[in-house]
Amino acid sequence: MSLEPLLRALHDAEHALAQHFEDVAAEHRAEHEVHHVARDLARWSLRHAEALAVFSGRGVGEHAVRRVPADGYPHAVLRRERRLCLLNDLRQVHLHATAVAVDWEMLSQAAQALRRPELQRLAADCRPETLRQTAWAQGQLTVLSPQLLTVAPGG
Amino acid sequence: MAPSRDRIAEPWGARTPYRPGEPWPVRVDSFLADGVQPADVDRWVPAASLLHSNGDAMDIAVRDGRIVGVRGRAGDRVNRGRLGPKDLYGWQANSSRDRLTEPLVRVGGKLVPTDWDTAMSRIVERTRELLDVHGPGALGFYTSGQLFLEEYYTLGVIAHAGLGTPHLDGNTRLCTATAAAALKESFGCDGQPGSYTDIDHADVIALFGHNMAETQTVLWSRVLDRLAGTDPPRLLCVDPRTGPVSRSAAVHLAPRPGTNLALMNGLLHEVIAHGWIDRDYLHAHTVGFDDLRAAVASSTPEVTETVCGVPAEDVRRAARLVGGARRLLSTVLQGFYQSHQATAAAVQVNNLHLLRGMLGRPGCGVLQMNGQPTAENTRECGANGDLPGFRNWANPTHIADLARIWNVPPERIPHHGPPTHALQMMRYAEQGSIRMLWISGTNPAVSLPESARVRAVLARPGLFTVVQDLYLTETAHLADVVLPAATWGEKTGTFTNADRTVHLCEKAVEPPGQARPDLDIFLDYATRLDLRDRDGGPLVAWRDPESAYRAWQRCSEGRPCDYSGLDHAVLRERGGVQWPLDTERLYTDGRFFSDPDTCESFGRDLVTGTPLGETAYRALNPSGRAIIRSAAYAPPHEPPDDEYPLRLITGRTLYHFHTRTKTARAPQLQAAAKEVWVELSAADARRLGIAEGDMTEVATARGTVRAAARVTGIREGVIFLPFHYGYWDTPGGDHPGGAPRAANELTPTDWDPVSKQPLFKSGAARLVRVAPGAGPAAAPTTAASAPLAREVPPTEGGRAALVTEDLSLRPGGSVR
Repeated sequence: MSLEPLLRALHDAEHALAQHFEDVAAEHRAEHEVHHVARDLARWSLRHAEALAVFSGRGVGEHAVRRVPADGYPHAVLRRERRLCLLNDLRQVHLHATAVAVDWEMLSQAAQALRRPELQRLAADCRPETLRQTAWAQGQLTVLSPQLLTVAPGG
Repeated sequence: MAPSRDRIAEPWGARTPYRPGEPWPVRVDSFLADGVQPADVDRWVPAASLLHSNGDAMDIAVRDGRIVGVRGRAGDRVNRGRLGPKDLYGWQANSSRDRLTEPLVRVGGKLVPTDWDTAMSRIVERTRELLDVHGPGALGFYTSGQLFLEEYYTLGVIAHAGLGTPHLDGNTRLCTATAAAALKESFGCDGQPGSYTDIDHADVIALFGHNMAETQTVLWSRVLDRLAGTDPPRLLCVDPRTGPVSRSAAVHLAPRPGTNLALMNGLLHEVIAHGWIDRDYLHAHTVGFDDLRAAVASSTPEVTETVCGVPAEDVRRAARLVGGARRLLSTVLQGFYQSHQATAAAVQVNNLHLLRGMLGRPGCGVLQMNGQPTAENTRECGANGDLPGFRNWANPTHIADLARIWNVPPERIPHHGPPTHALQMMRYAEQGSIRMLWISGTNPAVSLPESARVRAVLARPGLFTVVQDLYLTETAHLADVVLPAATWGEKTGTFTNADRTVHLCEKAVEPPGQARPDLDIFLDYATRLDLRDRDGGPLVAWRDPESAYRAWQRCSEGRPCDYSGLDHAVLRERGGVQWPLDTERLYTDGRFFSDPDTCESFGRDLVTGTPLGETAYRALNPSGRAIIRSAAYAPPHEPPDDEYPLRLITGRTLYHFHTRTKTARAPQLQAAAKEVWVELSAADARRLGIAEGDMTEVATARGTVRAAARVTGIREGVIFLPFHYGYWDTPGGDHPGGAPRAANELTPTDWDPVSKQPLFKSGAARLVRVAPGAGPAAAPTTAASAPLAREVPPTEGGRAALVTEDLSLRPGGSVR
């Protein structure tokens, strides 16, 4: 069986994740740490996508345009209020990165079964960074949610 | 008669050379008001420096109930009698006619005088109302690096255990947060490993982004005295500017701003590649070496040259210098702390010492320096976004311990995340969820990045602002209530310098008018709020500095910063004493405060800043070793481009402190550096058609500043602005009335994700000439702002600045 479909999917997903981080950064310029670090993390995903291009049969920069994936259950509470959209966006990018991390795990396992050490190495290099991306989004949520969820902003 | 010297012209005074291992000779500096002789002085009152972080010990001269001068303390371990210019002349600001002498409240848009009861009642009413309607998250406290230990501790107890708000930070966030963060990452806990006495023993001293000659003049005198003696140390200087440090250095690296981590990775690559490492030490006392080796494997001198703009051969020379040292002392300051990837870069200095096994022995030490005089105490007492006693907010046992000491239920102490840092508090205030901000002893309208934004936040109608200060600062102009505070010399308390030396600083004179010690103000607030412990007793059960200090001793006991052996009697008898009692250096036996149950922090991701958590920490470091943490270089967030082709860095000058509230009110200091300037290289000056003294406009995406040009030896492509100049002594008062001059009009709001320290030394700028100059820029000629042009007259203080330097004394005061 070929790994190409999975590689292509992962390639597209990393591109989409890079765009997702860029979108979060652009949407939240006034949240300075979120803005700057999200842009740094977008670069990681672009690097992953470039490394995958060698194997996925796609050229560098050539990828399916994908919308940010739905997160399973829409978060009505967070979407309703403008001030909570930061929490919603962090939650979305966290779930997106988690999905990508899971894909890396599957790729790593399949590469091991197929004796493809170069793909195993790639997964070993990239997956820890994807996990750091998920941890970052979760860490931001941990710090920001008490204030944003419990103290109403004033005029 | 001891010789006298103009210490504006010669900031470091007379040389007293000494050789390795010898004690630093005594030299007693004194400066008295015009016409006052030593015999006229009624009393000498023990104190220490409050205008920089060195912690120089002095006596305040009192005559007829007024401060009339200062004298260095001969026997003190920190300065052995010496004082720097800011201490010699700065005391005059205490008696400035524009001290605040009564509380002010805003009535109909104007600040009008009132009494303490009215002012405090307003604050207490607003506090109660906000607690009832919005909860403790609506209250924020932003304090200083210049209050005393007892005041920080009391404020911390009020905020954390009384009100239950996590929003408490100090302006030490701007100067020392990265020092604390780097120590936590490497050693599991804050606490300065080294000692100033390491200068007496070192054969190589490496200064990483530390312009010691200007920021700690007395410590630099100590280095100069070693350099003037037999068998002097060799220096490494890492700084994009030139100055006394770079001129004394065997190797000077002037990297592109924002590339410190790449430079450090390059140095460590060479140290590892040449085997200049102590494998036994690494094996016995550290974790993480293999990760570091892999992380720096590609950081060759050539790669380093490309990224940092430093010649590969210089990288090799620097690595040979630190790699060949027998006793290496490293110091780190704002060049690293306020630059891109701040904590990651500072941590690599710790790694250099771990690799070389050079820690905890004479001459082998790391000094992650502080910027402000009492910065160490905000960190220890929990007023800087940490919990008191270096306790770990993520460790429930530590929270329970604090709850026991304070006799409150553990859930009252907010610990659902790290305490809120200053810039995040500003964001919450901007959004309106923080509705009351109590600012004590600091001036964010000038000192925080992006001044226009900060002014707008502080002026928000929905934000109730309390400002507690000595003068009507730019920030006080924007306040709803202004409280007049007493300062150094007018109140008693302790504080601790960058090498863990604690001084008792005693009251010498009465404060002016109705001004009150900060401690009394906080105690009054706690009493009026009727804050209680779980048994109904008063939460804050102390009434004066000594009882507050005793409460802190109990809180710190058994923690790394253990003050239990340092009571007032010991401090009075011995002068400066290090914590823990009689501990010159930490980590002498290769053991650290990094056991998972002891450590202050479980660590953070050095790139993203994400807390790593207990599970990961236990797996990495189960048995209390030092942690070698590595990180990859990432490009700065605002690189130069066509519109803004230069890199702007900001910093301080030798003669001023913070926003000049005190130093501009000392005539000798103000005259030495009276107006803002901008430094640029000769190459950039030629290209831009700018000559010494020309009026220029500096612009970034945030704003503009007008400043006279000073052409110096700074790296090409980099410009420097001093950050001291605001608007309180201009017609604008709290904002630019005419041409803007505050450096923070230009700086970006960006901070290190690990330490949350603002990155003042980042951002892209443009410089244009707007008018010819009427003469040279008003920049000092003595240090890093020294002009290339020969015809610029030297900075001098003249007769009014003559200081007595007595070289005849031995420690303890006996005449040789």
